[in-house]
Amino acid sequence: MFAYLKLLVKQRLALWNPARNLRNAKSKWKVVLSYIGFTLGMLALYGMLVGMEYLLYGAFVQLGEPQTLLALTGIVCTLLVIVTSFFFVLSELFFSRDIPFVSALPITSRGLLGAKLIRIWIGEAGIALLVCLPVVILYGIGHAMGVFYYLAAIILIPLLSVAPLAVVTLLSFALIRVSALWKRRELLTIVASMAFLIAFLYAEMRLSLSAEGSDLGALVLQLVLRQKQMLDLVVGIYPPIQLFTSALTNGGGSALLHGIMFAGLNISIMAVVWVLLGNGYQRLAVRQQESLARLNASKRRVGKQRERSPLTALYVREMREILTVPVYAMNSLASAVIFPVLFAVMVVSGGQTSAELAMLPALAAMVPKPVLIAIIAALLTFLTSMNMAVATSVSREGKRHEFFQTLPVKPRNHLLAKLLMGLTVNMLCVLPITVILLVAIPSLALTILLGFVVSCFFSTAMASFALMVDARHPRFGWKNETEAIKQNGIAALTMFGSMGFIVLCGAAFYGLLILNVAALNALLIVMGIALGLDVFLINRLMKTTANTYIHQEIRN
Amino acid sequence: MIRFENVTKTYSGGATRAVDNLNLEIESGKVFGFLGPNGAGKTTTIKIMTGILQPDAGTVWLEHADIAKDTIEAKRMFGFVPDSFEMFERLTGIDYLRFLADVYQVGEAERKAHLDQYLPLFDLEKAIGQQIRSFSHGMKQKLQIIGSTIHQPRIWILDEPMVGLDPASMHVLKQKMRDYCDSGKTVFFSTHVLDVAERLCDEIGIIRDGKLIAQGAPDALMRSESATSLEDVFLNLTVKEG
Ligand SMILES: Nc1ncnc2c1ncn2[C@@H]1O[C@H](COP(=O)(O)OP(=O)(O)OP(=O)(O)O)[C@@H](O)[C@H]1O
Ligand SMILES: [Mg+2]
Repeated sequence: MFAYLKLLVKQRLALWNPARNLRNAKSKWKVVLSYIGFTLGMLALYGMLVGMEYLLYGAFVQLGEPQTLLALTGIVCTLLVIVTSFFFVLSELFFSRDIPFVSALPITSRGLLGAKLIRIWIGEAGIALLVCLPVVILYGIGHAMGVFYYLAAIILIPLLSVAPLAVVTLLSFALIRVSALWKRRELLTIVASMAFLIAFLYAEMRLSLSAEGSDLGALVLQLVLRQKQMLDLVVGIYPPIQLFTSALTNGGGSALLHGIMFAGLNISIMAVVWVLLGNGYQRLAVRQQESLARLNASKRRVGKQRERSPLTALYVREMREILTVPVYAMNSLASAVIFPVLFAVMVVSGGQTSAELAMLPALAAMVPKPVLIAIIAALLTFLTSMNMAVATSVSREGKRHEFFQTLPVKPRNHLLAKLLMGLTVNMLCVLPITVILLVAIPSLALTILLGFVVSCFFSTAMASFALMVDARHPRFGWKNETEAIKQNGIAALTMFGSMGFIVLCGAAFYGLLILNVAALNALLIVMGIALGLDVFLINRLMKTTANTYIHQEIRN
Repeated sequence: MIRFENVTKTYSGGATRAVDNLNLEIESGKVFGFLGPNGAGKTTTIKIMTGILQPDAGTVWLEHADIAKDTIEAKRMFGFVPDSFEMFERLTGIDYLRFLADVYQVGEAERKAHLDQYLPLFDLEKAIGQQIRSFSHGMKQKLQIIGSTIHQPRIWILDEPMVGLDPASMHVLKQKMRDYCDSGKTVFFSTHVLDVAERLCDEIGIIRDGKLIAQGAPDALMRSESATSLEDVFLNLTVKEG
């Protein structure tokens, strides 16, 4: 088990080996620069997080409840694990390519599951540490905490993710077992995962909005009047976090006791899951792989084939890939499904949320139209910016990049097909919510439509930019599809950059308003910037970038 | 016609010379067998002539197109079967072939005729509607072979095409390579199967450490090395001297 674990970890680290990348590169300083750029970008992002935590800490000190921030950060980590690791666990455990290979090794099924879970846990623990440590240090300095406090933090923070991981593991086993009963199991996996996420988000919203049955207004009132500690509210979301917080903040014996209890709780939940599922794991995973091979054995024969242009053929292939690979579909189209469904559930389930929704049109009517257009455009653009479909479209070619290189197709057509795919996916994400808005607030139809149009200018610029970055710095060396779309640092950086860009444009718009520029003119100016960017980026994409793209060599 | 002029390619910033000043000309209408020990530079050479890799120096001509300059025209000229099975696992076999036909702009009638001929030959009629990931190695190889000739290219390039084929398919492939040349086109393939090369090829090239160390018709090579088989020639040239 440990030999296999070592292999897994080594494999992961090898991807990051700068020395090797340096050795294989044509121009060394470019690699060095890109590493420095990447590091700086990451640091800047992390700096933003730390800054935000710093501000939050200040706010919580003002409220007199700094320990609540500790609890809150812990909960954020827990939720983060559940949401982010779900697809990851699913694909690592059941869709990973090494399953046939390791199944032939003399490792027990439990050992296999254990190694995989530890490997996932190491990653999650690292993220948890990064997120939590700033707050922990701020609190530690603020309260002049001793060595034991920091020691406890270092030990307990990585444990935060253990219980959520156990839950996620349990869920993914259940999902695979259930889906085994159906024929179109892949489709089912997509649908069920989406349903799970929606249910989770919904439950989370309900829980945090109406904990203990009181409605939001009353809750805020209670908080303001200080009849109720915010801590209780936060702890209500995930009770074990109480142990985590008190282990850190209480002194002496009770801290130790709570710390041990928290650790014990996490580890024992995981142990139960591991013992229960470990023995059956290998069989289930292998069966899953076998059924993949038998899948979709439609008896379709050659049939009639209409001719398509090369560009259409490339585009159709891109779209087909996005729609048929479960992880890609889930990543690209989640927002197309989740937000409309959430909205529908909220409206149907009635109660206070829909009452608040009913106030929206009245509220919106008070805002000047151009400002409203800008807000709608920003929201829609934000939705598309989370989409990794286009930002990883070159990387996702993987080793098949060489196949594309041999095709007699103009380089620009390759990129054009990818860009068109990206824009289509953007539309799929944005159109449903636009339609819902139109139906919900018909009085603002024109405003919403204009907002949609403005957002198109921005999302096109962002898609072009993301594609440009990916074509210049593709990461072809992935081993499974989850890795291809989820673990692409540069694409993630591009995504944050795009979000930053939206914020910047928002700020520019706001700045213009402050400078007494008429709202409509301000909107036109910002839109002009986006339009200029569209033209510039697409032009560059079709010329310089297309050449870079076709000459990218796969290094191994 | 295929012509290499002073082609050189290094890896790892110059540390490995995978192809070292290669000069080679192959006339139309010939089957050319490209031999050499593991790591000699065969795949690298093939990747250069198909536009996957950029040579550090030199030019490759495919008919009258320079792969570096008249790229699109040159790429239309060849069909290529690579040595690995990195394919579009989730496309069905027929969708993959259709994609290729569209990209190479093959007309409806031609593609139908091609498939009607090749699918039964390689016994893929039943599987062709299934996703490629359900294919065995040999089936994937056969699918690539069918796809690579869908546009009737002037030059057919294959990197170790015999690996994993069953005897019947191997026979069909050899037959097709022969037919191809007899109609005036060119076949360029790398292989480790020496007795196949000996019987099938009009011309042989042997490469070692990126350098072409021998070229000629199989019997001419055997005569000059006073050997009785291509295997002896190969061993003489690549092992003993080393
Ligand atoms: N991507 C790469 N990076 C660095 N070196 C490489 C790379 N690809 C090949 N090489 C090196 O180039 C040389 C030639 O490799 P190539 O794949 O062309 O050999 P080959 O003749 O096809 O061998 P085989 O018969 O095993 O297929 C080898 O020394 C190999 O190590
Ligand atoms: Mg090779």
